[in-house]
Amino acid sequence: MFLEIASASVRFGGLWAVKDVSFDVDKGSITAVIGPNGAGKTTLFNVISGFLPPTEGQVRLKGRVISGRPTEDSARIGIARTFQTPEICRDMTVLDNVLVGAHLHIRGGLVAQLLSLPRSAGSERVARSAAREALERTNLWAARDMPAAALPLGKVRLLEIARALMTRPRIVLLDESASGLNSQERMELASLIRQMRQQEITVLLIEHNVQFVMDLADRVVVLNNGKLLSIGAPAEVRANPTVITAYLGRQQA
Amino acid sequence: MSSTQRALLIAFVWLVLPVAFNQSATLNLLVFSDINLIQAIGLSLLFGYAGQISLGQAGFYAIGAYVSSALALRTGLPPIAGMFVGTIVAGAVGYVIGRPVLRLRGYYLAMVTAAFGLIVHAIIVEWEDVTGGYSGLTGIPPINLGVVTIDSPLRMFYFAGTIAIIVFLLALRMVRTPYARAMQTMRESEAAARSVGVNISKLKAEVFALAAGLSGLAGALYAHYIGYISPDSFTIDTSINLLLALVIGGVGSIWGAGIGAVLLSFLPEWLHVLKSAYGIAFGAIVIVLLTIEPGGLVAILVSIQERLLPKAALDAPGKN
Repeated sequence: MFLEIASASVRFGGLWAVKDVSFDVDKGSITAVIGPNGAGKTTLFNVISGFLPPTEGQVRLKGRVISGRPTEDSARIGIARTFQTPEICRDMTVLDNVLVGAHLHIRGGLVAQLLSLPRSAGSERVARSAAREALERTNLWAARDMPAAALPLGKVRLLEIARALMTRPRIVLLDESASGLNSQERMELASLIRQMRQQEITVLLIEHNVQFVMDLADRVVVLNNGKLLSIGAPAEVRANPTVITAYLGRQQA
Repeated sequence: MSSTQRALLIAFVWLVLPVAFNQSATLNLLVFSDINLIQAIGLSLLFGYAGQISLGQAGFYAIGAYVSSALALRTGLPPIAGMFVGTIVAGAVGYVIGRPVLRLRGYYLAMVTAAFGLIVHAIIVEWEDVTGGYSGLTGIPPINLGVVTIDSPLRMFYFAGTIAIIVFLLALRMVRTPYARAMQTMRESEAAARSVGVNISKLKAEVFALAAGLSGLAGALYAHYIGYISPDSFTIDTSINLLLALVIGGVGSIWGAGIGAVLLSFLPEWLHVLKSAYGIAFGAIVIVLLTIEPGGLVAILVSIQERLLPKAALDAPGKN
């Protein structure tokens, strides 16, 4: 099994934000996590991406427990993410925002970098060509020298994805990456996510737009009040009466 | 003109200044500018680039000064070696206290670093056997380089100036490295930095140690230049004035640190006529300037330059 969420629970004070959630994710698949606001989707993502330790339960990658580790180890393990409220460096250029994604692939410490030692300078060149590729894939290359603050929300979400790709991830967690995008941008995002699947990158995404999810995801996980309500192929989940009552009903009415 | 070329040009102009200003009073202030520049760059990297405030730089300044001086006076260690030891000790103390302290942010970090400065001050007052207490240390020997002893303001201007220019050029280079990119990312979003694998607590402690070491180096230079140190030179005012000078010059710019360091050295003299109203005038300048341009004097210079020479905007000094 590739990625396993095993009885994961997170408690904030007296509230279980995530309660006893278990499911598996196949390598190179696209899994959508949906559910009403406050269902625990982002909390679950924080656990998988190492931003929160689970109160109970585990997350395992290829059988190895990866939950409860320091947050900064995630990228090394191969887990990259974006944020629901984008976390970018507004004063830095678009290019620099993406380049920092190569942090773990830059060789040599500060002294080696100051002296431009070959291995250090070489890894920076590799990072720059990877950044160009990531920016071209996200249609941001033309904006590379702009300060990130100048980008509209839709582009900022793509910028975060470009940065995540720079870490050379095995798993990418996209937290509402489609929200704030216009329909053109959403189509581009969908094709970008499919490309990621082709490269054997496992994608988990949180999304409110049900049509977007149904068209894209291999599997859909439905959370409600922190609990796993349903899991399955998009069509199965869509047909599930409990899901319709709890969540989808509003869209289908 | 590239940023490095500009820096070399200004460094050259700086080094010929004593020809025009060779009265001892002005020369003395130029020496202080050299010394202040070294610490201002450290604080600029820490505060402007890595986003970590420190109101305790005087503590590290004191550590550099007292370690180097006490070693010279008690053990006869040559000042040039003492300076090195003082720098390393200040940097090491910065690293050790940085690990736990830098978990705090904003006001809390400001308060804890200020408290660190107060503790160092209290230690140098109380530990009389080593520090001489309130009366301080006197007869600190000047730096001896073998062929020449740094025993005049002019010699110190060139000695400290050479170090300051090297630090300045290295800092200009540093802010373009991937390392600095991680620092800036951390300043704006720790979550973003963590998500790409930046070890935040290690990076913060390293930059804190670097700023502490540079303050220590400046402190040692100061001690061997003046030949006398007492706790009065290392109060919380010293820390706050350094931070304000940096803000006036321009946070987030190595050039801003340069402007700030010169102002920090010269303003007290220029505003001398105001006597006790000096503090009011200094505070007023800070308020007025930051209301007009939060980026400090360097941002004002950049915008003037852009208006005069629109094409030069791309390599404007503010970019570094």
